[in-house]
Amino acid sequence: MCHGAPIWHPGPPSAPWARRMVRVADSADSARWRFCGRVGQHSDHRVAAMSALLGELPVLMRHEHGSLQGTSAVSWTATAAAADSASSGVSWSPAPLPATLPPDPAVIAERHDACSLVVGESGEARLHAGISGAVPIYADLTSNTTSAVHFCTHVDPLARTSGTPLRPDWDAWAHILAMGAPLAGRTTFAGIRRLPPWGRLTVPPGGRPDLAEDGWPWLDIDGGGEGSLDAVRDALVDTVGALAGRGPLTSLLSGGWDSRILTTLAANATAGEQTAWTTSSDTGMVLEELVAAQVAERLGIRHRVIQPHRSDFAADLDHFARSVDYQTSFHVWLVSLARTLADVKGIEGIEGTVLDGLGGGVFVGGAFPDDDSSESLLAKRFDRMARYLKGAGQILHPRVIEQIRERSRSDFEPLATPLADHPYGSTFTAYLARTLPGISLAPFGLVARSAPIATPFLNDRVVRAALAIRPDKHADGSLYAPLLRPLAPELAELPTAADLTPARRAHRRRVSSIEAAEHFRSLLTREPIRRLLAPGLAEADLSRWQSRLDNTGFQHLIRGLATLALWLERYDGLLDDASTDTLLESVG
Amino acid sequence: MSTTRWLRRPQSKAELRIASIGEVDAPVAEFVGRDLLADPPGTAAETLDLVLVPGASLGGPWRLAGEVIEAFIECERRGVPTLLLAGTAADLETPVAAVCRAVAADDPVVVEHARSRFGADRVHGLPPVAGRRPLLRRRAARRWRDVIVAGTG
Repeated sequence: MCHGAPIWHPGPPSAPWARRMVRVADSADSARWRFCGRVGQHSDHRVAAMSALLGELPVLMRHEHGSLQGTSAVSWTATAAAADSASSGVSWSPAPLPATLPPDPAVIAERHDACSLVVGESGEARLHAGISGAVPIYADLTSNTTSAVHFCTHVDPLARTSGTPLRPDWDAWAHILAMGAPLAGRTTFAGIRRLPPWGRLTVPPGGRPDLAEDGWPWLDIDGGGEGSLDAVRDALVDTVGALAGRGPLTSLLSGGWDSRILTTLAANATAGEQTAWTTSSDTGMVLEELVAAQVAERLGIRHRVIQPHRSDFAADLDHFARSVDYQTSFHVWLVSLARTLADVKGIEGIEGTVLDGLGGGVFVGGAFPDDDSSESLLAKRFDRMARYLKGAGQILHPRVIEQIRERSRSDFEPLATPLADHPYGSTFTAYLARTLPGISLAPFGLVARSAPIATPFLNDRVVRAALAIRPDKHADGSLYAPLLRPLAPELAELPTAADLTPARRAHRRRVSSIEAAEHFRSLLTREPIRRLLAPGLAEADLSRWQSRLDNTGFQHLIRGLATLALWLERYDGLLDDASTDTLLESVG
Repeated sequence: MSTTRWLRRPQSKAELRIASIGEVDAPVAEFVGRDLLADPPGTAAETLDLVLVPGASLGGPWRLAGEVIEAFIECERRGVPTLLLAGTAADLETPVAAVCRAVAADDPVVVEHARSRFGADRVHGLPPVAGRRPLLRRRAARRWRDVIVAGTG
């Protein structure tokens, strides 16, 4: 790699992406896990350009109808006898995969939640997303009338190598502000989409690309009530055991149930040879750290507590935003820990696959149940997902609130309406509107930069077993203790951080500290963000900003606006229209 | 640094109820009612105003284990502030330091490190010379900060 010189790419000098190229030292993404490629027939210029932006990746597949460059993957071949026609495929995942895989992308997606690129003997090419959809894969659909679609594990290389004008997706930004993340597969750039769970992007030879979003197997689980906790436990034990068989494990340990269960399983599978990592989730308490320490002590494993530094807040916010391609600001507090994981890798013998509890709360813990209000089901689910809009007039201009509410509602309804009668409708609504587009980027956008990462609660067998138990049995996390009891009786009785948390929070949060408030105020009072603010907020003194940041809802809106400010700064000069005036228009 | 410079009787008449997590040296011990490691909090912790936590270099705890965790959990549940007395920069790096609410130090280098890590508003730099006026005065006599004064040395 040539540092300090303009990036080289093998495309023609007049290639439309040339003006967007920046110096390698400024832009090369050193994320541990990164892939880019094309589905369909095309030259490899753009794939090579994306690869250069990602730090020159090895070629994993080069075929007339599909190509892939990436960090590491498993290749396989299906013979005509084993499939409809002979095909060759490459599969990848942020978690370690077995050395050999069954030659079928659907089976691979189901068993390993891995993505695959497959080219058949006929020339038909297919990109198959994982079953959970939590592992991000983005595709540039702006020019889908051509013979190929380009894809990448990160949005930035797709944007910088796009042949069409870069335009903000203001619907996505409305969702980010109102709900925490973009709905309907949108990203911050118009036309660049995240593949849905089980999404299949197919390009037949000589034909046009087709993105199939139907048939997601998890929606077929009926919650009939025949399931048992033993089946959930067995599936978790097998999932973590299989990961342990492929290398060492380490875990992110909070004061809650999901990480406690995973850490226990990892301790059992590795005979205690693991390290658990905890950081402050910036709730104004330190009970997460204390309860995590109790769990680690009782399991007899190493425990490290990483304290985020106040002085690093601005850098952490920027690092997080880049890592998640500016799509969410959930879990900024995790940055110090993710950076530490990268730093210690190989130094303390701690390298291993990180276990993250993503999905446990929704599929086992019964999070986001419907309330008893008299509102319509759709309205109450929308209000729950868009709860940050409550009192938003303290932070946002009234017309911005109208805009982001309406834009969010119009993409929420097509997502939520088909789920209205599903026995796990509230669960899947929360999963598709929050977990998938937002929370999943903490493990798979941020932590995956530092280490291999796995999310056992999203394993197909675990989800199926959990959803086979009647929905009401999940209420209030009541499955957790009996799930853990046979594995670690003492830990099943140990109160969680949430159990111990008093009404009054004792500590000043880092996000509302003087240092953070100054940074937020500086970002938000610059144009064009300033005009989106509630009247008077830009001129308010620092103590008012701190007070607003102490409120979770207001803080969320401020973080969203800061993410937009950083995004506009990052792509300054590359966007065809960076005006935020669209969000100030009256809703007609 | 010696803990002997940490405390003196606050000028207000209020009697602050101060405990520690770990043993503190005399004469500071005069202000400390009890060590929560030797005498677990129970219901009495509800009436504490401040808990001092001597840094590892001052003989205090550094690991989060056993009764140390229990003592901190009780302080958190009851809203009792915990103040780390940091003698060296290394005292700021321990797991115990990560769960303290505030830090006090007299070494300017330690104070600077602590401000970077904990934030300016959570760090109290103490004058290194004995006999100064109280560093932090508050109108409310029962505020725990009243007790952080520079020394009797």
